[in-house]
Amino acid sequence: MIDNILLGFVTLMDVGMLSAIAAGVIGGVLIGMLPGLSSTMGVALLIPITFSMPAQMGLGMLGGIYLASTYSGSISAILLNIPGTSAAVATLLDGHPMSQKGQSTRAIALATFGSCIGGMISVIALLFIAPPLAEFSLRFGSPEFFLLALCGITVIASLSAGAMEKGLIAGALGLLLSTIGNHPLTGFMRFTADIPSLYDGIPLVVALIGLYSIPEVIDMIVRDKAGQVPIRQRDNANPFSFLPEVFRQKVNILRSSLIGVIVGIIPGVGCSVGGFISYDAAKRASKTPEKFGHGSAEGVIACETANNAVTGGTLIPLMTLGIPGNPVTAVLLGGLMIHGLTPGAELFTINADISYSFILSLFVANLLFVPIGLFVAKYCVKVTLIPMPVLAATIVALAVIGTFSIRGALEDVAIMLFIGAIGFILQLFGVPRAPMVLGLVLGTLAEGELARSLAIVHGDWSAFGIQLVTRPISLVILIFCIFALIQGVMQHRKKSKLLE
Amino acid sequence: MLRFSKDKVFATVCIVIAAVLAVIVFSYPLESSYFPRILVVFIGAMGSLLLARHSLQKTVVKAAENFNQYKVQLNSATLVFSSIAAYTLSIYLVNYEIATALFLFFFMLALGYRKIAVMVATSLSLTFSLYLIFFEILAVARPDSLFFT
Repeated sequence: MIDNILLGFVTLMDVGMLSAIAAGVIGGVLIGMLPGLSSTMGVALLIPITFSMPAQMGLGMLGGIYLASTYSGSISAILLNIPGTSAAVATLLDGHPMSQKGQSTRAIALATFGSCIGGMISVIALLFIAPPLAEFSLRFGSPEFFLLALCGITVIASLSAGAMEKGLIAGALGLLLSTIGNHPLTGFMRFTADIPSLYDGIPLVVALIGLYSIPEVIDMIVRDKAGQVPIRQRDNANPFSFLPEVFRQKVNILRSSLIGVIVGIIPGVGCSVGGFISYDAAKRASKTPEKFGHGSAEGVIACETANNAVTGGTLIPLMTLGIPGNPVTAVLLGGLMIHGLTPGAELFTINADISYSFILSLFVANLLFVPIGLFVAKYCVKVTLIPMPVLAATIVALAVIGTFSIRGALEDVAIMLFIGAIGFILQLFGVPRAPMVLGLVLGTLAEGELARSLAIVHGDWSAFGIQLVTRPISLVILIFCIFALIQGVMQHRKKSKLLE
Repeated sequence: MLRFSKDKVFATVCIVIAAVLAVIVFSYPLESSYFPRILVVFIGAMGSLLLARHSLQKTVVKAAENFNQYKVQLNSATLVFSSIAAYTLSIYLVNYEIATALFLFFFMLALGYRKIAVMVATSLSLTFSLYLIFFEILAVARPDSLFFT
C-alpha cells in the first residue's frame, strides 16, 4: 500500500494534474456558492469535459468539484441565509446569525477551516480504513435504514427552537412532501393531481430554493420597510486570524469528523444529515448550548466539519463496493466507469496508480479550497453591502434560473413557489424550516425502507416490530432514538421552566 | 385590537390540513399509503397536542400580535409571489434574456429603488452574467418561448 501511495504522489507532481484539481476546486466553489446549482449537477455537467483527459486528471477534477462545492454551499448559507447546496442546511442555523452580527468573515473562516480539516480526516479514513468499515455498512438492512431516518426525526425534535411539536410537525410535513409522486415499490401515484412534473416527486434542490430563498426575500422586504436594516458593517477581518479558534475546538472537530465519516459510509444518508447530527452532538456536548442558533462558532464548525467529512466517507463504499453514498457519488461512479474503472478490489490492485492518485488528489483539493474559498468569500462579503432591492431582485432571478436548470422545466418554478409559500407560512408562525428540509431529505429513504421492511414480513406490522428489536444494529439505533427524544423533551421542559 | 395566539392558530391549521389530507390519503390503496397515512395522523395528533397544551396552560396571552406587521408580511409576500409568477410567464411569452432584464428592473422599482442608472446597469449585467454562467458555461438548455426565441 505504501508503494501505491508513493506512486500516487508521483502522479500528483504533474503540473497538468495540479491544474486540473485547481480548476475543479474553482468550479466547485462557484457551483456550490450559487443557490440552485448542486454538486451533483456540477459533477454531471463536467464529466463530458473530463472525457478527453487522462483518468487521473479527470477524476482529480471531479473530486475537486465534489469537495469544493460541498464546502462552498456554506458561503451563501452564511451570507444570504440560502444554502448553496443541501449539505449546508445545518450551517444556516448559526452561520447566518453570525453574519447578521457583522461577523461574516469569521463565520466563513470557521466554515472553511472546519471543512478543510473534516475533509482531510475523511480522506485519511478513505485511505486506511475503507475496506473494514465498508463491510460493516453492508450489514445494514431495510429496518436499520428506516430507523436511521427516524433517528433523523429525533434530531429534528431536539433541534427545534420553539415548541417541540412545531418542529415535529415541520419534519412530518417535509416527510409528507417527499411522498409526492410514485410509491417506491408499487408505483402508485400520490398527491400528483395529474401534474406530470410531480410524477417523480419534488426535486430536493427546487424545494430547498423555494424554502429558503422566497421567505428570505419577503423577510428582507419586511425588515427594510420596518427600518430594521441588518448590520452591514464592513468586515475586513483577516480570515487566518480565526485559525487558532478552530484549533481550540479539537474535540468538536474530531467528533464531527468521525460522525461525518460514519454517516458518509452509510449509503443514502448524505452530507446534510451528517451536518445536523454533528450539530446536535455539538450542542449536547457544549458548555454554552444556549448560544446555538444565535451565531455559535461551535455550531458552524461542527456542521461544516461533518458535512465535508461525509465526502470522503461516501467514497468508501463507492470505491470498494460500487455503492454510491449519495447522488453526487452516483454520478462520480459514472465518471469512474467512463474512464474504464470498475469499483472493487481491481481498483486497488490493477488500477492502484489511478485510485491512489485520485485519493491523494482529494488531499490537494482540500488544501486548495482554503485559499480559493477565502479569496472568493472576501468579495462575497460585499454582498451584504448591496442595497436591499438589488439583492432581493438578484436572489429571485438566481432562484428562478437555478430552479429551471435542475430539470429544464419552467413548471418547476411553480413547485418552487408552492414550497416557498409553505416556507413563508412556517416563518409567519415561527416554525423552524430546518426540520422540514431534513424530512424532505430523509423521506424517500424512510418510505422506501419501510415499504421494503414490510414486504419482507408480508405486511405484518407485529413481525416488523419484532424485527426492529431483535436485530442488534436496529436495536442500538432504536435505543439512541428514544434517548435523543427523551433528552429533547427534557431540554424543552427545562427551557420552558426557565422562561416561566 | 385583534388578539390571538400564533401557536393556537398554527395548531388549528395543522389539524384542518391533516383532516383534508386524511380524506385523500385514506382513499389510496393501503399498500401504497402506509407512510403518508402515518404522517397525516401524526401531524393531526401533534396539532391537537399543541392546541391542547396551549388551551390548558395558564399562560397570559402576550401583548397582541401586531396585526399591522402581518399585513406588511402578507403584502410583501403577495408582491414577491406575483412578481415571480409574472416573470415566469414572461419567460414563456418573450425570451429569457428580455424577461430577466425587465423583471430585475421593475422588481427593484416595485421595492422602492429609484437609482435608474444602477438599476439599468444591474439588470443588464446580471442578465448577461446569468446567461453566461448557465447557458454558455454550464450548457443548460434555454427555456422555450413563444416569441423572440
